[in-house]
Amino acid sequence: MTWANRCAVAVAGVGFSAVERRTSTPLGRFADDAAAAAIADAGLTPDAVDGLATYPTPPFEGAVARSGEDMVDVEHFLQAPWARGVRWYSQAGEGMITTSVRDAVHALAAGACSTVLVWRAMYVPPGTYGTHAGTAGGDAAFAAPYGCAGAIPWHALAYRRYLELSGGRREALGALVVGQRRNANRNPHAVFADRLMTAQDYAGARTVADPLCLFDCDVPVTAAIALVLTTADRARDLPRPPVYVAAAAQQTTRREHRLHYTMGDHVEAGTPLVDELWEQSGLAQADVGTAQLYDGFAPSVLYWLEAAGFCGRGEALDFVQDGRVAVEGKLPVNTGGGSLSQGRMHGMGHLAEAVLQLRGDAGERQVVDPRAALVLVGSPMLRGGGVLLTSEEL
Amino acid sequence: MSDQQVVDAAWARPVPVPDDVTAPFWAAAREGRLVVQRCARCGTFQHPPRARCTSCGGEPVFTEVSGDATLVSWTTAHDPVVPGRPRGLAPVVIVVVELVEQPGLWLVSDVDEPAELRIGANMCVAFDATAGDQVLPRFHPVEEPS
Repeated sequence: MTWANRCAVAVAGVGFSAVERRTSTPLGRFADDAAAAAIADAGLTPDAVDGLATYPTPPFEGAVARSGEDMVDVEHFLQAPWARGVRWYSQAGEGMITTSVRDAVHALAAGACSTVLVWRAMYVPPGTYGTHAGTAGGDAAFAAPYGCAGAIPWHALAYRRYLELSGGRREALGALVVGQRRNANRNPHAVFADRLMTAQDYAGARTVADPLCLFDCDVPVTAAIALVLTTADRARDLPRPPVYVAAAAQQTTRREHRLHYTMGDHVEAGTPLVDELWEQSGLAQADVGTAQLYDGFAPSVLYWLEAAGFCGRGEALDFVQDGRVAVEGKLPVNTGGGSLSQGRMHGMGHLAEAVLQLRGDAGERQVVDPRAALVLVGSPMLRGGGVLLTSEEL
Repeated sequence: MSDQQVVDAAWARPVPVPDDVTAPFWAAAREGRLVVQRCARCGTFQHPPRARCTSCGGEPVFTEVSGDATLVSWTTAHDPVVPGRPRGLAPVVIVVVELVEQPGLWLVSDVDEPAELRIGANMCVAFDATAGDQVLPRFHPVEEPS
């Protein structure tokens, strides 16, 4: 059944802060910049914002989680002088930024508010990344004492099994990763806009946890990106071409393994989510002009390609060869560079890139008439979520 | 095992902190027994431990298992990925094993320097490492008969 809220809400504006690695500038300033840019892009003034939605969780162990410093939560904007008119907000603790988009659609469609600011702000802490306490409780007690802590070994274990079962070679993933860097070199919002990567660079990258190499891991950044969402009727009266939310779904199956115990079949975990997007929107694989697929670790792109049915099980490494996922290819993937090369924005970079592509605002990396953009975030086992955006109302 | 003890001496493995749900696992490990939750109603095993059976909602009861397993996956984790491990030591080979009692019943371990690993290889448990005051069940490749 198609979604009751299909294309009821549109993205009317998108805004980016500067993108840095480590900086002493408070993260709240980055979020303010992104919000101001998104609101201006929508042709509105800040006092028009009456709804707020984010997924604020810091992406590392040991975060202090201080509003406006290492994370930007709803409170940061509730304290903004211009935010007196806010009458609805939502702060997701799970599911990444697509969950916030879905919350905003529901609120707008229900009339709880008229203009929602959705943002994601990311921070790189000083010192060593991912410091670990000397103890491990809960699920981590069954993994960390063996050296298995955080996302890297989990992804390495899943990827090893994937390669063994599919007969793939790790070097083959360079086609995707180097291609994404090429896309970032055409994206002014990318942290690696000016840094090149060759196939030789990829092949020679240092091993982090085999088969994962350094360049299979996303690049931590300090930055913020914001969107303005409003009802489709209202969006059509605003200056930018509306980008419609045609479907929005969350990964709710196979949640028995959480952050510290993420092993399982990523493709199986992602398939029901993408199926729901097809059902909600009435669209299918052939309608998708570009796919923005979460790449906190590069192999997740393979899992999402298979979960979405763009290729068969175990075929994604072949699928990403021969320019098939390049901007000019059959299915352009991560055209802005993705988390690997634009920067780790936990899915918000993917979402913003989809909006730019559908508006025709992606500059040198513009896909020809993409019409529909599939955005899938999370690993997919962990915090999977997705939206399908369209340039025409369905 | 003697080599492992030398390696372990420099590796401050994170110490498991038992809680109300997980305490029987760690108590059994100190006695050299591997126990896993099994549902009293539907008989399904599950790990890590949960407050209820995730298959049927029934009561999970810790049940001793054979300790026999097969290899699901592995990775060689280089520093600084491994918590508590000083830089400069050999990388750690982390594995996931599937207990023979049930498909999908997976546990994590690290293994001593392996000659060759392959999916489906036979593994068995030993209680030959400690973290703080806790004993860690670890899995080792079983010598294949030649």
